[in-house]
Amino acid sequence: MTAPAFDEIIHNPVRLRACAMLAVLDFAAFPVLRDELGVSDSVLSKHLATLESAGYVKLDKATSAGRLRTSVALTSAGRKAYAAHVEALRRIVAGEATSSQG
Amino acid sequence: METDPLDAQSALDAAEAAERRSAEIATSTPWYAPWYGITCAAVPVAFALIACDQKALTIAVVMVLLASLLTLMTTYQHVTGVWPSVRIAGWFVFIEATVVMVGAAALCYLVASSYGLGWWLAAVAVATAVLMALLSRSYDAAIVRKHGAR
Repeated sequence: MTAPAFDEIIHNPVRLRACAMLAVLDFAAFPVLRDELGVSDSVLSKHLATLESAGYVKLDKATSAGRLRTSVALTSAGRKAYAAHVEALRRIVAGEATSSQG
Repeated sequence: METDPLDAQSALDAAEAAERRSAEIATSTPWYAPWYGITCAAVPVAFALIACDQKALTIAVVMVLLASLLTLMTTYQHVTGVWPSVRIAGWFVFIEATVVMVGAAALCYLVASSYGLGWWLAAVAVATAVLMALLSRSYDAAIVRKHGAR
């Protein structure tokens, strides 16, 4: 079982959803993430740079048919941090449920 | 942790929705399973041809197999823009697939060594294609089950 650990870096709504999408995948193309999250290229780049500097995502850039294609993947540390953050959120929600019953 | 429980709940909901969406995207290609199954059927056929010392035909079948597999993976990535994580569906799917492929290849090699090529090879190839397509669908189902997509 994953130990809960609230992570301020992941908790940002865009970064949380990006990590959630990537948690199911080995990798996702940059345009898929951008379209699904409903943000611009620059906004997504900024959030991915934050996650990358924390060691949570890895960006692979490759040229195919003359176009630069970027794919994004969660690192092992990113998967652990995301799972721990989700567990922390669950604990917070469960804590509220307990206190509201008492 | 100073996060409000309501904020935590909405964050959890958003994360679950995003995971669900990823699972939907990853399993949105109904053509993948039959294509994969037919491609895999070339493996036992190749082993039967090896047993009968059909070198040229074996090379041709292997080349078609590799080209089909490469095209399948490229097309899938081009269409979906993602690649699903093995750890999500579980390794048991790959163990089952390995058992089917090794079993079919060994069967074809042994039968072809003893009796040569014949109608039975088509039957084994069709059975392998169907089984591997079903396993591919079970891989998709495992992803969907885990993330509650659809």
